[in-house]
This record gives sequence, structure tokens and C-alpha cells, in this order.
Amino acid sequence: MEDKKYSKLKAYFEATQPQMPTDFTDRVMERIKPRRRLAWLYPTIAAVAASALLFLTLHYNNSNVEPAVSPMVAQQQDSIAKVEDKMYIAHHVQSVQSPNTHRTKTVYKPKKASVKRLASPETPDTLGEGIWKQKENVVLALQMLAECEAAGEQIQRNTIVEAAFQSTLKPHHLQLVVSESGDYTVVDDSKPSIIEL
Amino acid sequence: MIDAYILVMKQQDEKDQQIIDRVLRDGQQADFALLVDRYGARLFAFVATMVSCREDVEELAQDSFVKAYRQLAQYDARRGSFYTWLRCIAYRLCLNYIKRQPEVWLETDEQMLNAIPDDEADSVMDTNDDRRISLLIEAIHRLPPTERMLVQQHYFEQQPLAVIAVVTDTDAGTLATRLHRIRKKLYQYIIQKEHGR
Repeated sequence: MEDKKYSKLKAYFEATQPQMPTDFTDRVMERIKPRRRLAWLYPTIAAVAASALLFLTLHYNNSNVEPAVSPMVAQQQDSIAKVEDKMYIAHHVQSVQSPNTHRTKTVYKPKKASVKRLASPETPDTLGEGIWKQKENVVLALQMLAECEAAGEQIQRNTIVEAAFQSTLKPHHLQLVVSESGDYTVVDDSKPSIIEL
Repeated sequence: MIDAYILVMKQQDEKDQQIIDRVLRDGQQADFALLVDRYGARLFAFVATMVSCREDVEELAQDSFVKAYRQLAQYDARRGSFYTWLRCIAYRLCLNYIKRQPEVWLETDEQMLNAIPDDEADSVMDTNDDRRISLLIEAIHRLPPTERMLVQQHYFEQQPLAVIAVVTDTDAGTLATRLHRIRKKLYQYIIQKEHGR
């Protein structure tokens, strides 16, 4: 490597060049951070997106809704699984024979041990269930969630899911829990046997 | 010499890869700052060779890192070092910028260029004479941005032509030809100035 041959020329050249500002790294990292100025928007979109999914999950089967975790009819599993797979809502799907009917139901279970409960007192208020009746809101929310995941913005993505869950009308014994890997699942407090710990 | 360069770069690449892994897999966004600290000054100098306006140099350098962060999952260590990949990004951003900025570059007389003996032109950079160095710097600053970058990368950052070829998406042979022509331009400028033209 001819590191000394052009050293004088290099020094002259570099003397004519602008120098990097000392806070360059800070400026770059500031731009990488999720934008706070959209913080008011994300919770609203979060409510729209996650509540839409939970609404579909909880109310799709209109007959004999048992207080078990998210019962679904088996033939709808594919479409729901696609949405939920995209949204990281649940990863374990198990067909369970319901004792009260002869249908095969899909029960969602937490992925691994040591699930933690969500306690999000800071979750902002949402607009309520009525917002889900507007299709464009649901579409927009899903787009926001997809962008969060594509950009790897885990915090924003979680905010969307959690805030939306809080906004939905749901039985009090249903809780949203998240595993260490960040997967969300709705669990039924009234039936601890369903939760694998 | 080139083997030693590659060895040093490989050792550096492993550490870069560890940082990248932490950012991608563990979501340690703050670790990206380590890469900015490591390559910020060099990338800033790289952009500064192609862009005249200081504010634009800062912005483009920042843009390069931000884009690299957002596309970090696409980085493939098998294709080259992180810094090489980073320069590819910066190079393309600078090219887009240059297209929008009309500037006048060093005028060349083709007949005179062809008449310059190769051995005289090839040794134009081998000087310790202050006066000639000043003229060289003047001439380098008046080269088109891509040629200026080539001089800075090859002579001052001592990058192998093979590496620069990856950054600029060309081949080493083409770059060698361009460098030969650049040396003739610089030589022509110096001779004209020294003879009062």
C-alpha cells in the first residue's frame, strides 16, 4: 500500500474539503428514530387496525360463542391465519373439539412459556368500536402496520396492536398478552388451563 | 499489499457484521451509531469529493446512512464490506444530486490530451513540489464529480480499483482507463498554468 507516496498531496486536498460536523452521528440517529410528530396519529391508526382484526377474530363466529380464547370455525382458519400471521397476533393454532357443539374450533395459545401480561396505562384513548365500520380506516391501519413491520419499527407496531385492543368491546376476562418474541395472543383469564406455562 | 488490505478489511467486516446482527435481530437500533461513528468521516469525505455545497454534503451523507439503516436487511456480506455497500448507496444518491446541479468542469483539449506522453502524465501525481501540488488540487476540484471521487478514492483512500468498481458498478479495467485520462487532464491543466495560459 503506497500510504506515504501521496500523503502530502492528500493533506493539501483534505485541507480544502469540508469537515464532518462533530454531531453528525447524533443527527443521523435522530433521523432514524420513529417520528414523534406522528405520535398522535399512530395510536389512532393502532386502534383502527388492531381492533379490526380483533373484531374479526372475536365476532366472526356468531353462534355459540364460548368464553374460550377466540373460537373460530375451522373453514375460516385460512383467511384469518393469513391476516393474523401478517399481524403477528397468534402463532399457535390448535383444533379443539368443543364440548358443547360438534364443531371443530380453533384455539389460540401463547407461543412459549413466560408470557407477560400487558399493562399499558399509557395506552391512549381510542375512537371506539364504531371506527371499524369504515372500511377505509381499516385499510389505512393495516397499511400502517405493514409499514411498521417492514421498517422494523417494533415499538410503533406494538403500540398499534395494544391501543386497538383496549378500544374494542370485549369480555372482561379476555386479556392481550405478548411473549418474549413479541407475539401477541388473546387469552382467557377465566380458563387458566388453556394457557401453557 | 492488496492481500493485506483485504485481510484488514475482513477483520473489520466481522465486527461490522456483529453490529449489524445486533441491530437486525435484537432490535438494538442504538448500535447503528457505532457504524456511523466508524465510517462517518470517510463517507463524508467521499460525498464531499462529488458535491461542492457543504450543506448538501451533510444532507447526502446523512441520507446515505439513513438509507443504509432502512435497507440493512438487504446487506449481504458475501458481496462486499459494509463500507463498500455504504459507498454504493452514497454514490447513487450523489449521482442523482449531480444530475440536478448544472456545473462547469475542467475544459479539455482532446488533441492536446492525446499528444501528452503517457509516462509524463502517469507521474503527474508523484510530486512534492508545493506549487505543483496547489495546481493539482485546483485541477482536481475542477474535475467532474465522478472523476474527482475516483482520484480521492484511489490515491487518497488507497482503495483498490476492484473495490471502487463495485461502488460505481463498473469494472476495474474501465476505471484504470478513466484514471489514465484523468491524469492527462491534470497534467494538461498544470502545464497550461505553469506556462501562463
